[in-house]
Amino acid sequence: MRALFFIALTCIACGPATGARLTLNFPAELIGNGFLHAAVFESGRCSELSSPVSLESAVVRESDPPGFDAENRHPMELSGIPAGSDRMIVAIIERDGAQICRACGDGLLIEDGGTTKVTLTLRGCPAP
Amino acid sequence: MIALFLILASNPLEPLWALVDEERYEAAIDGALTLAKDGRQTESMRHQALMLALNAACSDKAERCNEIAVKLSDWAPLWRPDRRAQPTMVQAVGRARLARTGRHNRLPSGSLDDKQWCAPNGAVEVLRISGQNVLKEEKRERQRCIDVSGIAQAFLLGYDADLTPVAVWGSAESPATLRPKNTKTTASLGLVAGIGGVLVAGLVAYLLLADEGSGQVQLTVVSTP
Repeated sequence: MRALFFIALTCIACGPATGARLTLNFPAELIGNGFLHAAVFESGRCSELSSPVSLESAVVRESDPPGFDAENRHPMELSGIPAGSDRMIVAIIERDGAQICRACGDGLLIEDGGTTKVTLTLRGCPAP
Repeated sequence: MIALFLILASNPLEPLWALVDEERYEAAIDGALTLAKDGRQTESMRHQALMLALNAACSDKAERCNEIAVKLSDWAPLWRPDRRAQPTMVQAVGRARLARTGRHNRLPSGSLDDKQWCAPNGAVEVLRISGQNVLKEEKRERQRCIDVSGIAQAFLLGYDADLTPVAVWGSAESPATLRPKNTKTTASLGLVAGIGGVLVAGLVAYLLLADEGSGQVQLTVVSTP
């Protein structure tokens, strides 16, 4: 924690970069070890999900630090998903290069210009 | 006397001029036209015969002035009568020249390839006039086709045995371009461009229709023990 505070102070001391602005947010509750991946696939069935999941074939992919808030929730937003039906979405926690936990949803309908709300529940993930 | 007979024998126009002098115009006209239609005669002789026929036809007591004026202006498109000639004849030729394009527009254009132009069947003679402005070259041949290789523009006429045009390409005032291959190429390019345009339009339409847009997902990942 003291190390992060030191980095933040260093960034403030350096001042804004010329021609660009970089904002770094480090919410304490989301900091953890590894990654939380969310990936949308054009098609697929959760029952047929491979292990490990090949994230490279996803149409849209997002990765965050694998932390959760006080209610054990981690919101993410994935945009630019091609409209269509039967999309599959997967949330994966990766730690030390291994996919240790995942949740999946399929039959997802993505409408042009629309927002689809999805909740995936990771069950029994090992604590960091 | 012997010399006179020799002159008469060597110049077939002399007896015809004698007929004009005797005011036997129809006989002079018919004789001159027969001479003009004879392909064995020199072009100069044929031209003189036609001019004789015109002179006779446009004389006071003749009625075929316009007919012969048309025939002569068609057979020798570049020729103009001397302004000091009979006013009736000058005016008739002027009318024939002015109406020439209209007459020729009704005729077929013959067939053209990169080497020759051919008048339709029935033609016995072709005339090619090429060059620009005053520097025009005339070439007449007693056959149905004429060489056009290496010539960019020309006025081409085909005549039947009566010296009447049966096919025309271009006009004396504006020679037509003799580039069938280029014309074909231009047409092909136009066709290709048209097909390309349709394909591009189709592709754009397909992409517009095929693109169903995109949406977003607000994902909440919940971790439970």
